[in-house]
Amino acid sequence: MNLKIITKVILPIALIVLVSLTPVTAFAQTATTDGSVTVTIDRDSVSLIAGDWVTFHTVISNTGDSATPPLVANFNVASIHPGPHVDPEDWSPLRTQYIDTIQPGESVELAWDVHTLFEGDFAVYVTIVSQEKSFGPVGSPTLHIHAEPDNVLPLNEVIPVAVIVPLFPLALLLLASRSKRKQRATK
Amino acid sequence: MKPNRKQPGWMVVLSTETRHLWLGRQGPALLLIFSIFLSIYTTLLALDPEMNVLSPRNMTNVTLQTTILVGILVSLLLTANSVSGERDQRSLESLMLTPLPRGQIAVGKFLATLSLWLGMIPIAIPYIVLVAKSTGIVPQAIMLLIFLGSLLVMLCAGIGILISSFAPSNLVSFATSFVTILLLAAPNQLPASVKELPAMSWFILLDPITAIGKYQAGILDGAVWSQELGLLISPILLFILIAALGPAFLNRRLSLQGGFEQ
Amino acid sequence: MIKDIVETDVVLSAQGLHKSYNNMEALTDFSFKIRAGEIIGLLGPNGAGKTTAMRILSTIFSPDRGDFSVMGIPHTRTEEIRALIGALPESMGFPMYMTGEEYLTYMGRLYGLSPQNAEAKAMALLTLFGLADAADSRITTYSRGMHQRLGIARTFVNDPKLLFLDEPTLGFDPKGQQEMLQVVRGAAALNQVAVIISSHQLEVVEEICSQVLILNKGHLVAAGKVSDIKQKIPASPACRIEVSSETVQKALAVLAHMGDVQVERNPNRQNEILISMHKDGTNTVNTILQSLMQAGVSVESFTKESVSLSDAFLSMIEGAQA
Repeated sequence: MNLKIITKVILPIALIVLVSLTPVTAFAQTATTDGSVTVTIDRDSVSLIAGDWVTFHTVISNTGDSATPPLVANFNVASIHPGPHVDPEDWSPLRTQYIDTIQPGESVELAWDVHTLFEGDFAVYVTIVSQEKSFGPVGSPTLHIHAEPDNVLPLNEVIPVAVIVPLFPLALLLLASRSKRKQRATK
Repeated sequence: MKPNRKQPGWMVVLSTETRHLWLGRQGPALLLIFSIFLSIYTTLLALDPEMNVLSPRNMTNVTLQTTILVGILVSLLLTANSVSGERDQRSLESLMLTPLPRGQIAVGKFLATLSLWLGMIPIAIPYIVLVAKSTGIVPQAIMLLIFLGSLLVMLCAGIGILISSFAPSNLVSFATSFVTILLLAAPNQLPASVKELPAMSWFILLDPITAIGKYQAGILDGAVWSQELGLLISPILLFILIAALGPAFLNRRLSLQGGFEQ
Repeated sequence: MIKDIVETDVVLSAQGLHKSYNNMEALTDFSFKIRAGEIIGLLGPNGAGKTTAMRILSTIFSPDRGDFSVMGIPHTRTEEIRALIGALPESMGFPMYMTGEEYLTYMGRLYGLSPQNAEAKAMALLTLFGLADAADSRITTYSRGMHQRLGIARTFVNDPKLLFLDEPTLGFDPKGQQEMLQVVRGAAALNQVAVIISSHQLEVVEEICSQVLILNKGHLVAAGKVSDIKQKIPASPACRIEVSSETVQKALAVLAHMGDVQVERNPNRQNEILISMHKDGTNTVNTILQSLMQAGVSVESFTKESVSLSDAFLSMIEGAQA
């Protein structure tokens, strides 16, 4: 086969077919449902610097015929890779939000503030539960957070400060001792 | 017949105590311990990958809080000993026999303690700059150290002096002072969700250490200085109360054995 | 007018002072006056209220009831009073990190002296009280006696009009004690300083004080001149005789027969005999001497024993407790 035909014709067609077959997740329309309740999230990924805040929104919709029981939405975060423990309490000031019943055909939008405390890759999601035992948990799609490190404290800059600064009070201490000895000697 | 005073009594106490603190080597020794602590702390931050996962802004906040807390504890070491120490070594009666109003004894000793904090500020600045330099919040961090750190140290030192004035012994003074400050500082360590509870938000407003901690975190996160100024009301008011009423109260109530009975 | 003239030299006047702790009366209705140049002894057993009285009068404590004034200044104006008094509390402590000179200079400055005057005063007092050589040594190196000297020196820093000295001779050797008493006498006589001394060493009080106040369980049980106090007790007369060594046994035999006398031989001086006569007895000094001479005892010396303040004090206290 002619290499030119492969690169200029076949490859682009293959790429177009592949892309068209990939589920569209740009706006994260995909929702997980429990029959009548669906949860959507406004984005599927975000990149930022460790320490930044990000706000995302979830929409909880009642697609059924009857009103939902009172619902509880809970924020969760997990590190995708093994590493430092992620405590959701520290990452969001408001972990749980309470929703009264949602009438059929209606929706409720919730905002969630997330504080990325350190670098890494994290999966953020919201689960919906209810006090009704029959209502199973409903999960939102995942928001992937990629937090870049922000200039880690460099050791080669720390050591000079750590060594030099204590020398000043040490010098003061020696001066004070000398001054006392001098005072006694002159008297 | 009032004594012919060239210098106010509290200044005589201040100059004598300050001289003893710095020429007696206690001050430089405490500064040395303070600087060694900060050196070890920042070195661990750089070395330990688990400690290094904090974002620089968060690291700056934690470093600033730790610096101010250590500054408070070191100042407490002095204030807790100030009056009750004289009581323990039986030299308080000699001071009480002078024409000096008793509140001025405490004022002089309080100001002498502050000279130590004034020495700690330039020691702490290089470490704060080191941790904060990549964040663009170095000026804010230094201003917080100088102004809010000083406010907190003055407030806690004032509490320490009052406790020392009434404690019957040094041991009671130290124990009460440290427990009081730790209780005030403890809520700052609670998880964010607990701090958001309605009851806790009132407590945070009233607890000076937690209120300043929250204000500080806001500034380091990019809030403007005028935002959440209400958080500074309780620490400022409490300090004004202690500064204005403390000396007058001690004039009437400072006693040889401690306690509140004359 | 005459009353005014008499009262102008009153340095301290106390009227009806009361003080109680934990529902216990430490001082009850304590009243007295002291004039310029007078030295008054404040006596009493442990817990009598002496220290409480001293601390009230030196404004360390406030009285529950009663008044006192110093040089006409009421006790409520404590700062003005403190400028006029000096006090040596019992077991006084010092900031051990200071030298003697630094300490007295500090005290001088707290009394309002300039730094230079305070230093000069400090050195003068250290010299007066024999501490000039230790002026630059830290107080922590001082002996007990040196601490006491420093404490007394401190009481003179402000040239007081009234001094309170609680156990001032503690820690002194006999020579040091005499030197200290000399200074106190000098201050009273030359500078007209009124002095109140509290001491368990009654011989010191007897030597230096013109008046005594005796406290017991917070109450003033006796007040007045030392001589008047001594005369108050119904003491038995006593005398001390020294006889020749050959006639000691004969003297003892004669005295044993007399009755109404108590005889005690001095264990340190074999020829000396102390004779106490019962107050209601019929024997007098003359009859005893006559009996001894008739028996051929050679009396080489005779001394009449006077009543000591210690005797008077013990009698007062025991009487009050009975």
